[in-house]
Amino acid sequence: MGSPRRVMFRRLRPWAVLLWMFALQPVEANAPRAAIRASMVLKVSAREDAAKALVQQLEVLEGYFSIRTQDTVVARVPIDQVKPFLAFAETLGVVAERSYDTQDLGFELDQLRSRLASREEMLGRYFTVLETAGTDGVLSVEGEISRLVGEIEGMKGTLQLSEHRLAFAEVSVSFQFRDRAAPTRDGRSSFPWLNTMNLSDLVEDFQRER
Amino acid sequence: MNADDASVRFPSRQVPSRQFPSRQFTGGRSLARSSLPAAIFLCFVMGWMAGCAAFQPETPIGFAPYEGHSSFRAVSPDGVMYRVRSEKNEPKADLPFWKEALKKRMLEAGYRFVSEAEVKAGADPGYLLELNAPYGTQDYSYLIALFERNDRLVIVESAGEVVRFKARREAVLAAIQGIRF
Repeated sequence: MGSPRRVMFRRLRPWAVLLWMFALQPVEANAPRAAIRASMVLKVSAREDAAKALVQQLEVLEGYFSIRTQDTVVARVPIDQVKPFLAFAETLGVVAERSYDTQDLGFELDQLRSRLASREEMLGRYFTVLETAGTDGVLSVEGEISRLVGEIEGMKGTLQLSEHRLAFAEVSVSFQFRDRAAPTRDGRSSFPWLNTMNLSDLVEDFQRER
Repeated sequence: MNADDASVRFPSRQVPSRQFPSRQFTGGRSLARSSLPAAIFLCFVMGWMAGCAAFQPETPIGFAPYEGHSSFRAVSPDGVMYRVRSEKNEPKADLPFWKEALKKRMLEAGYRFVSEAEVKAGADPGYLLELNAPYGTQDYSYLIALFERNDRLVIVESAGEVVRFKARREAVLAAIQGIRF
């Protein structure tokens, strides 16, 4: 049986967590809860010039690039600047493909924050126990504290990463299709004429002519 | 006259002669002998003409047409291709059926969907499907227009490197709209 103080704390803990969640809710209400990921295949005549223009525009919009290769620029764009950035990119060439995905991180974040709060609370209790622990108990409590600290740091890192994903959208601009696999030309359709619909057959038909 | 006199058969049972007495038209004899291959050839020519006659193509502005093919083909100086051909509407189905089948087949084959729309050649409605796909080291646009007309399907295909195709797209669309059936 624990001390009266510890029993009271145990009883209060669920209420404390709920209060913490409700207290946090108004602050988070206006914050973005969906991470944006957009990609675009942009056909340009000069890739290097286009990449430079994209990077310059990123600086104007207070974003940055995380990857820049000969074929791709992966940009991190402030969430409210995604559409202007995509509109700017479209002016640089012909858009061959585009995609726009959003992922709701709200529930994941709420869970993470809740777990983090309970771990921090537990850590506080361990410190209290540490003050009154005997020689034998100190070692085991210290072991638990260091494990908990590692867990809390990991959670904080994940939380920061998620919050960053909410604040900055990931926009990938490729100058050619990343997946270079050509469409299949097998005759799987049960309609014979559909099996003749093929880009490579069309090109070869004209090449034979030349 | 009794009932036995009434004949329901030709009284003469002689087979018509294969001998042509005319000396002016001597080819008549050989015509009779070679009538079957000639008929087959005639059917073939008529069938071929029927296939060709399924559409009257229009060359896109800036393209040069090839001649002497069952399908109509034209190419631009920068390599954008344009081909019109017809296929039997078999199994016989309407345009909505073929729209669905075409889109499904092309996407399953790995083409990237760009857009789809209705298109008209004169007053005839058709289906326009625009796709992209990698081809070698380049990325290509691949445009398909489909018309259903009587027992034939008229298929228009146009393709080229994405940037070059973009510059020719309006000419291609105008040529599709100019096809007559």
